[in-house]
Amino acid sequence: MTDKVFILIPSFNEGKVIRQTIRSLGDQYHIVLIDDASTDETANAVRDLPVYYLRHDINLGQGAALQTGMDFALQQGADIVVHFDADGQHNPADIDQFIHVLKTQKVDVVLGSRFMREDDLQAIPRLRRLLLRVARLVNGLLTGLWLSDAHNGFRVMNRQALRAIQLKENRMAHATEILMHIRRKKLHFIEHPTHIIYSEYSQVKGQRWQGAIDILIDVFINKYFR
Amino acid sequence: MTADIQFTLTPIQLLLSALLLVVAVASLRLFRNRLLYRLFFIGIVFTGILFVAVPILPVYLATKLGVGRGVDLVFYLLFTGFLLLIAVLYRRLLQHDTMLTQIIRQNAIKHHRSPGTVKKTEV
Repeated sequence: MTDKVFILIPSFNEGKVIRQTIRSLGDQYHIVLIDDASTDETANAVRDLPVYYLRHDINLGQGAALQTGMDFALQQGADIVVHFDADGQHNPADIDQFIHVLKTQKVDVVLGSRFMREDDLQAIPRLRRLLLRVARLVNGLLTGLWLSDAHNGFRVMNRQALRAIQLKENRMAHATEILMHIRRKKLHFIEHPTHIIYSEYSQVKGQRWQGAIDILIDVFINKYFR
Repeated sequence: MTADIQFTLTPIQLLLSALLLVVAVASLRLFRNRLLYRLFFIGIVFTGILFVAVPILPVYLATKLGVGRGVDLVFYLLFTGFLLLIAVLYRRLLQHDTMLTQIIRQNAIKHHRSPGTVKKTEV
């Protein structure tokens, strides 16, 4: 039996690299690009590529874009969904490996981790490594899941997890919210090593420490005030 | 024998009372179908008018409650009311945010662009 695999790529103003990222995925998956109201050339850059193109009329954030993609994938009958960053940080070769782990380990979610192999760990810039360790601590305290990594955008999940996870957190705090859903819905999960490519482009576009504080506040509000 | 009770308002008391009444009317119009909000605002305005008209009242209440001066009591009440209002309005804001997200999401899914060639997935 074949599985319908959907790669979800949330994107905001990634017009310079999005074409390259999509082409690196080959043609064996259903690719869903969720354009979060980009104001650059994103729409034109992917016009001739074989992707499902969804566009938010207003910029909502990565969490909202992922949930839009997950709702769409569910409607399209997806069996497996992959969260994949638009900026080319993730390794397409990891996809099949993660799917293999998802099936053989009989889990619902496979979470990428940069802290399980020494090479991956060394590739993380020092300041980011420190921030991630703090985020890991916050995640552990808020969700009760003590993972080796935090806020790694590379995840693979099956249809059961796709149904169970309903993100309310529109912005970057969705990563912690996913863990909360995993815990509450008693989904089976496993961490698997992944390599992140920190290019000059992705580092400029990436989160800063101020963003980490915002995420912390968002997580707190989402947990106690919604 | 009957005592003559004279109850007169100074110009500033009149002005403040009139302003509070305007706020009361505005709040009645503003919070359509929100009885609790309306009652909350009318309560604040009524208390305000009472405190303006009878300045000794907050002093008396403050002494009874042990918070010192009347102005302290007014400050504490306003501060608490202000925080409560922010919390209520913020919650409404979050609800609107959720609704807006759902509308934008449904629209994005409804008007999606499909790939020109359908890809078969076999893993």
